[in-house]
Amino acid sequence: MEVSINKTEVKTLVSVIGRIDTTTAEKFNEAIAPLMAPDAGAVEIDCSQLDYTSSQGLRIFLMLQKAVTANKGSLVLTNMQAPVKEVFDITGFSSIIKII
Amino acid sequence: MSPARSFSTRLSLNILALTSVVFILTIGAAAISSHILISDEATKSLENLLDATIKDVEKTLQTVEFAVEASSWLVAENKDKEDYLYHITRKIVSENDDIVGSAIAFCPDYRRNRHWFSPYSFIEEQTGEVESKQLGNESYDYFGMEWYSVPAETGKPHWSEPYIDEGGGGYLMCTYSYPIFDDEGALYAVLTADITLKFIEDVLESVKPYEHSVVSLMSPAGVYLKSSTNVKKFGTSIFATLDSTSQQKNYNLDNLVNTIMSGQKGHMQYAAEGHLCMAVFGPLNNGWLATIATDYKDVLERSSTMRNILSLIGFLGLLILFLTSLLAIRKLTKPLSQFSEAAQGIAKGNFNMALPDIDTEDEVRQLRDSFETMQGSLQEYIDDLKTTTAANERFESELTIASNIQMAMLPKEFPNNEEFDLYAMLKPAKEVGGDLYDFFVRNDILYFVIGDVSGKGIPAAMVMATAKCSFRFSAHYEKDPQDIVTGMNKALSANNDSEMFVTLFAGMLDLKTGLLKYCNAGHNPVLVNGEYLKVKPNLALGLFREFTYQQQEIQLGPGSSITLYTDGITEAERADKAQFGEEALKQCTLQAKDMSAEQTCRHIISQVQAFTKGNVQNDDITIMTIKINR
Repeated sequence: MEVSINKTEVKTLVSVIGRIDTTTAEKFNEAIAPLMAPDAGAVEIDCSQLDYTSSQGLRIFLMLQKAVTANKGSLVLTNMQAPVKEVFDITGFSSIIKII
Repeated sequence: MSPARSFSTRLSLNILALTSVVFILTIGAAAISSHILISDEATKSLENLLDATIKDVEKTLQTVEFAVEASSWLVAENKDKEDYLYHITRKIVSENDDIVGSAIAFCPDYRRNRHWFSPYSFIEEQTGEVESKQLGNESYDYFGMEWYSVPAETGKPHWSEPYIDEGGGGYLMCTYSYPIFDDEGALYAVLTADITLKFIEDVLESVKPYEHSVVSLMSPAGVYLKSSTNVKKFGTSIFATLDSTSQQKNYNLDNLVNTIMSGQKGHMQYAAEGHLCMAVFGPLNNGWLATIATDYKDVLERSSTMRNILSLIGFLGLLILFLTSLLAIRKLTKPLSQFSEAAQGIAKGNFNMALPDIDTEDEVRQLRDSFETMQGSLQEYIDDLKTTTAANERFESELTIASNIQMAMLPKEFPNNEEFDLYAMLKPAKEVGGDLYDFFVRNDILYFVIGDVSGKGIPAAMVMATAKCSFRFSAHYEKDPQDIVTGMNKALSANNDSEMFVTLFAGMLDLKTGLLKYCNAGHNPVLVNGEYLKVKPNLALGLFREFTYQQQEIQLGPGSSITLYTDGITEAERADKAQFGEEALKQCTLQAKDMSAEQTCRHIISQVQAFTKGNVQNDDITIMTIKINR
């Protein structure tokens, strides 16, 4: 699991590659911690190479959503693969987090 | 470790071996040089001895020569006084102890009417008195005898070859002859003195350099005059020695005899009768030859004695060296065996093994310090390990208890009656898990629920317990699934700072009518009669307290089956990360169409296990099947 963060003037571009599961969830949590800071602004996460997420991954996305909302920023997940999108849909997370 | 092979013994033996080599070389060198030195020394001393012996003999001979020469003028003065001539010979015999006889032998017919005239005085053996007589006559024709003829012919003084005096008493005799000439230079008489060679015996007997030494005196012709210990009898020729030796010709001895006979002075080694011998030899003034022959063994006896003493000292030295080095090394290496014992003790878990006291500041001391440090570290480590292990054991036993408690919370008695057949299985990935199921029947309505808490382990287990309790609590008061779920959400959302959430599917099946009312809270869609039910996802529980959940309903007929599961089933992974998947699960339920609820559950679990092939289960697995019998 790899995370790259590229901050531009307009928004923060994030790319997640690989799987978020029991073994990598904590690493993912640490990697996106900067996005929960007050100055993160608009965050866009490219999920085109995110292969899988467990419920622990969902929980971290949820915490990020709550932090961004509290910081009056925005969060959008893009290019999500179908199986991952399905998990977001089943759990109802699609209604909480903006996915395009 | 046996003492014979101990480090100290081996080291000592090595030292001993090395020292022995050096020692043997030293002894060898010393033996060779002492051999050379001693044989040189022996040669020199034998030569000196020979010189002394020769001088001793020569002294006597010169006395005789002097006495004769001194009397020769008396003969010349008184050659016509017959009585006085007798007086002269008596005087020579009586005044010289060594001279036993003296004659004045005149030339043939020098005196008128006297063909032989030779006044002669001698010591009468019986009486010891000096007596005189006229020597020459027809039966004693001295003109042909050596003592007369040789000086007569050569005109020079002459020592005769030794002979046994048959007339005078059987002495071994030798005669010195001195020719006397008249004024015209013509020989007219030979003055002689006889000596016995008895004195030589005394001289030779006194010469005894070695036990087996033989001192000999020979005439110029090589005839033995006398030999100490009478090895060589008088009259034996030196050349006879050559014949009597071994049958093979001994060139060595030949050479020696030739050298001696040539009248040279010197020394030579030779072999005789298998012995290595040495001879020193030299001539006397009168042409006699003196030799001292010695068995070389005697000469080298001192050398070999010296070598034996050296060897003995060396051997004792080596023995002492071996013993002291053995003791010293054993003392030095003693700590090693103590370290060995300590290490064995440590290996058995006794970290307080006593270490040897080392007074020296060396490697052994360093080893000891390292040992001590190791003991300390090991003790600390083991103490830590004990503490950790105890903690782990306590934790594990608590986990086991927690697991038992959690399993006890799940209903274990599954109804299979004329109305319905229900079975469920739950396998946590760890000791405790976050999956849950529950069911009960009240007023002909079957309440059931399946849920999955985010995460695993103890945090999930605690939320699971809360979720299960709140289900029972809500279901007790509420009449619709959506109200039950909403109530549960409110309970779970309260103070949920850790953002744990629960996906859940709750249903109420009217056993009389077959109407199923259900509410899905972010959970996987259930399978009804082998097809996935279309469900509103709503939202997982515990996220937004005020979320309003909506329920759905479906009419089911007799024989219908409902299969509920958690994502541990569909996301069960093989080693290559491939997942079991929803389609496989659907096929399982189709295959299980005519099976009981329990058979269906077991079939699905066995299919999942066949798929993962022993790959580690990384999520909790729960499956529940309900079959409507009527």
